[in-house]
Amino acid sequence: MSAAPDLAFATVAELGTAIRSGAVSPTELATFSLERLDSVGRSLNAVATLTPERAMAAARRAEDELAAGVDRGPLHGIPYGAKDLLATIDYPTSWGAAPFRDQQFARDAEVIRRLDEAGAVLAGKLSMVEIAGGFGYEQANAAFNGPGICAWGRDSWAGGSSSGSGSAVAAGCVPFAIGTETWGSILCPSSFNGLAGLRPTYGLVSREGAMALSWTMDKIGPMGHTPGDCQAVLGAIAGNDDWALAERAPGPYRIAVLAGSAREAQPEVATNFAAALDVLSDIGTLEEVALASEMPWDAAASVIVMAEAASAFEEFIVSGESQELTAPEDRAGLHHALALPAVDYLRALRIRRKAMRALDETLTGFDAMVAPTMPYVAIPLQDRFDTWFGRERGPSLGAAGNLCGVPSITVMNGLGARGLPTGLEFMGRAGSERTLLELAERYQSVTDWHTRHPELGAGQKAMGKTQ
Amino acid sequence: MTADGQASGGHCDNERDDDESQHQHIGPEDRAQHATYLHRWGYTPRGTGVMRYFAAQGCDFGYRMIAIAGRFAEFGREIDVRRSDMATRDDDSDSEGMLSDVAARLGLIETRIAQPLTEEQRDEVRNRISRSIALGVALRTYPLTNADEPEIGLVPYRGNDR
Repeated sequence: MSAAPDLAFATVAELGTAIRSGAVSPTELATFSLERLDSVGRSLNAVATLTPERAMAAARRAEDELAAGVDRGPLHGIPYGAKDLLATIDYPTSWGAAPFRDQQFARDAEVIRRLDEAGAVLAGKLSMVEIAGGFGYEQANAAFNGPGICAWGRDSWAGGSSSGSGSAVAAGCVPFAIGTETWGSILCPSSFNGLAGLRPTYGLVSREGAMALSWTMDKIGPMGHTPGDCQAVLGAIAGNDDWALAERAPGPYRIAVLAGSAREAQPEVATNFAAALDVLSDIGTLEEVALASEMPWDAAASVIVMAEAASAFEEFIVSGESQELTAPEDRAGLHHALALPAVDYLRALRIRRKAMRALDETLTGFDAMVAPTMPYVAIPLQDRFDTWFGRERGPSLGAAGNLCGVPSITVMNGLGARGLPTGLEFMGRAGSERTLLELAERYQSVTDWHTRHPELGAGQKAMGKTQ
Repeated sequence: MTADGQASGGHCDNERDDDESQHQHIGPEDRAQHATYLHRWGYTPRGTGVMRYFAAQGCDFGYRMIAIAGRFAEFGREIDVRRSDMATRDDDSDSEGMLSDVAARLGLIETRIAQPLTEEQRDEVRNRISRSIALGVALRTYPLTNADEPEIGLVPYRGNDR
């Protein structure tokens, strides 16, 4: 029997080994996660609803099965949290919004069902920005249970819209969580909280039972400490194995560097990005590449999200229910899209078809394109977003990647302003998850940023490797 | 399961766009056509009217929108054809075009909603309408042809047994 790992920051793989060696049991793990979510998680506004009955039942089942020799794979007996826009039987699914805080569904989302099948243990529904940020929030305080707080600094925002997924994993409450991304909602909180976060190719993970914000842009993906953990989770939730079977060409990695992507970033972000490029140059060749400049990436993505969100929430807006949202700017935040011309939406869709081809052409011949995930660290809680997001920050991968539905992964690549994490993004062609995961894993294998964890203050100090 | 899975099921007309020869049809004439189209809508290809409108309204809109409008302005400089025609357009009328477009859209919205907007919210909605108009302008800087269809396709339902 080996010693139990530090439960707070152990990886899925380490916990799996510990469970199978008898060093820790699934019920001990579930109890640990439930208690830590209730204390540390709640202090970060990361918890929407704890699911103790479900968690303990699943943990006991995992214990019995493993004892009987039934092994469901790497997630068997591992606790996790799910963003509160994924439907679950017996517990409310709030979508982060006061008007929906008591909403109940009669069945689990497909992702939850698949994780159940894999033996994972749902410990809690995690906080999120109301309606996944679709109503144009401009401040951290845009969720019915308060602003998401960064695990690395209580004066900073956890990022959004998968705020609780980011801070709960970073604070060691659960080893992994499920987030969703329409435009930045996995990568932003992963970067702000120093995590590995994977946005899969559009359509790879079923959206059944997930709140629809923008049907053609919503994606569901894992957030954890390592690319290996993200891979284990993707293996359980993906609708097919194509991504796992895809093989990259032999030879050194070919990595495109998004031209100018660090130019307007915070100095520490730029410095950390340059250091990451040094590391990557040892495992592949680097070439500076720009995205097609004539393509209106941002405009097309914005119009599509706006139109689809206004349609998905038309009744909610027209009835006046949106006036009950938390952030004042959200209450009439999507009204304007009720009068968006259909030709604008369709033009954006027509452009998207061109954009997908243009982006694929740019990415062809490369294993990934890299850029700073965010041009800055987690922003101060009290700051309005227009002073950060609105500022011209140079080219980024977010609009193009989400518009075109291609995968990205972020990993921590250093510490920046106020001692907060910075992130490195790897984006690839559609279906290139395996290569991105391998590349990110290679990066982590020669750096130690992912082994650093936040100090969480008196009475909440994390167990494990803290910086 | 997803729209993508269905859309890749082969819609013949969509494939027209993959023919490289189609791309050759996008030339200065098409761009001029777009410029004329925007002109009719009351926006110059340089976007000056849009910018003047925002400035006049003191809109608290994002710098991202300025960047998009800036990109639009850059594209506008590439449009040589009918430039002189554009130059005859008065920027003030562009601003008025924007204002009337914003007012029309706001009116449409207010006829549909059950709960009246506060004055502050009306300003915010106006502001966001302006941004979405700027987005529409930015979209029209990218030339499309009749053959450019969206990546969606109708898959006629054939019952569960087929």
